[in-house]
Formats: sequence, structure tokens, C-alpha cells
Amino acid sequence: MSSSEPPRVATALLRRFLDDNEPLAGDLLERFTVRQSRLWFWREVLTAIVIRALQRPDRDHPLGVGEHADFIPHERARLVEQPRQVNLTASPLPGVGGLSLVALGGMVTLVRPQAWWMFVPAVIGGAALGLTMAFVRRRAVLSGPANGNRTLLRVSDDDGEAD
Amino acid sequence: MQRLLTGFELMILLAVLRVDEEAYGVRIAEEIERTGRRRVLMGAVYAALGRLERNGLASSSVRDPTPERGGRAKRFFRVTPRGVRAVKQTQDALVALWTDLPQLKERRT
Repeated sequence: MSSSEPPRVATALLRRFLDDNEPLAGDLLERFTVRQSRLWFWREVLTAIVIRALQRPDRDHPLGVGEHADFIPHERARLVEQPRQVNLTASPLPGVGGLSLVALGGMVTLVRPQAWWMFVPAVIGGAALGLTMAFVRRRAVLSGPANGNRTLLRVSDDDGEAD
Repeated sequence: MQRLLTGFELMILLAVLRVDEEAYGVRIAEEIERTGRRRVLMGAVYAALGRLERNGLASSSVRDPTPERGGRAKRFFRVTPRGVRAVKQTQDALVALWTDLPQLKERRT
């Protein structure tokens, strides 16, 4: 499967979900000009979005890395000096909130209730994806430092900077 | 206790050091695939680079875009002195674990 142009839908997803990472989007487009594989492009875009979604909770969650950040000067500076955004929606992705999904469900019920049958596979697929992501995330946490001790993430510095 | 780099982090830092001045995402991934003989996902490369940067082991700067990238900017990475020390410490630890293993000596023939 190849073409000189990247898939439009994948490019739109790239713009939508990786908008704040312009270099990554540029790298994917540059590599596509060499590889010319739509399948490759789709795989890269989707995995980049999933990786972004898995990373985001640590950045947004008030009780995430913050409680252990004292050991990382850079993290401490970021948390203290920069305004923090807390994601209060049901989704880790910006702009995809739980209320929007509820509103969409209500509209479908009112306008065309038969269309709910289309949602059944989507709900099953979504649940499967959610469980997979939770499993992957759980494994990532378990494979971290011994006993989940985040102090081990510190790299000791000879000049005492990290201490 | 000093933190050792993971295998992927180590490969990325080594690739950045090898590519030197041209160390942006595409070149780093190509270097890992060509020299490290491992296929990588760009998203994973950027996630690891972001983590290394947050921990002070790498730094980056954004430079001018080029036409083949749809006008998007490039982010160039460098390994900080602290990153070089982390690479060296990881190498020392791995070499120490590597030595005097009869199982590996037998297989090497």
C-alpha cells in the first residue's frame, strides 16, 4: 500500500491530536516522503496518539508526579513556576469530554434511536481499547523502579545539583 | 543509588551522540534502525526524548522548517554533560555485568 501523499484522515488526526508537537508531525511527514507507505504512516500516527494519551495523565493529574517531584529540580521548577492545567473531563484527550459524549447520545436517541445499533460495536471496541490501555499502563508502572520508588528516577549529580 | 538508563533510552542517547549536529527525530530514528538494527516508532522516540529532557539528560532547540516537512519546524537534540555521565555509568554497569560469564563465552565461538 503506497502513495505519494499521506492519508488525509491520518494527517487530520495528526493535526488534531499532535498539534502541540509540530516537530513530531514534521518528522512523520518527512519520513513518509522516503518510505511512501500509507500503512506505515497510519501505524506511526495511531501509536503516537496512543503514546501521547498514555503520557498525558502524569502531566495533568494533580497527584501524579507532583508528590514526588521534589527530587527532580526541573519538575519542581515546572510545577512551581508554570500555570498547570487540570483535565476535568472524562477523557485524557483535550476537547473530547464526557459531557459531549452524553449530549451526542441524547441527540441520537431523540433523532434516530435505531442508530444505537451502530454504537454497540463502538462501545465494545472502546471498552476493549480502554482495558488494553489500562493494562499497558499498569504494566508500565509495574516495570518501573523497584517497589515503585520514584526517588530512584533521580540521577545523582557530582556537582550536587540534584540534591 | 544512581539510576541506570533503560535500553531504549541508552540507544537514543547514543544515536544523538553519533548523529551530533544533525540530531533531530528522523536522523535519530534512522541511526537507531541502521546501526542499532532495531525498528522504532517516532512517537516512542519523542516520548523517550521528552523524558530524557525532563530529567536533564538531553536538551533541545527548535530550528527552521524545511519544505519536505510541510513547513513544520525541526527540533534538534543534544546530550547534556549529565546525559553523557549517565551513558558512561550505564556502560560501566553493563560491562561489569557482562564480564566473566562462561555461558556467553561458550556461545561466542
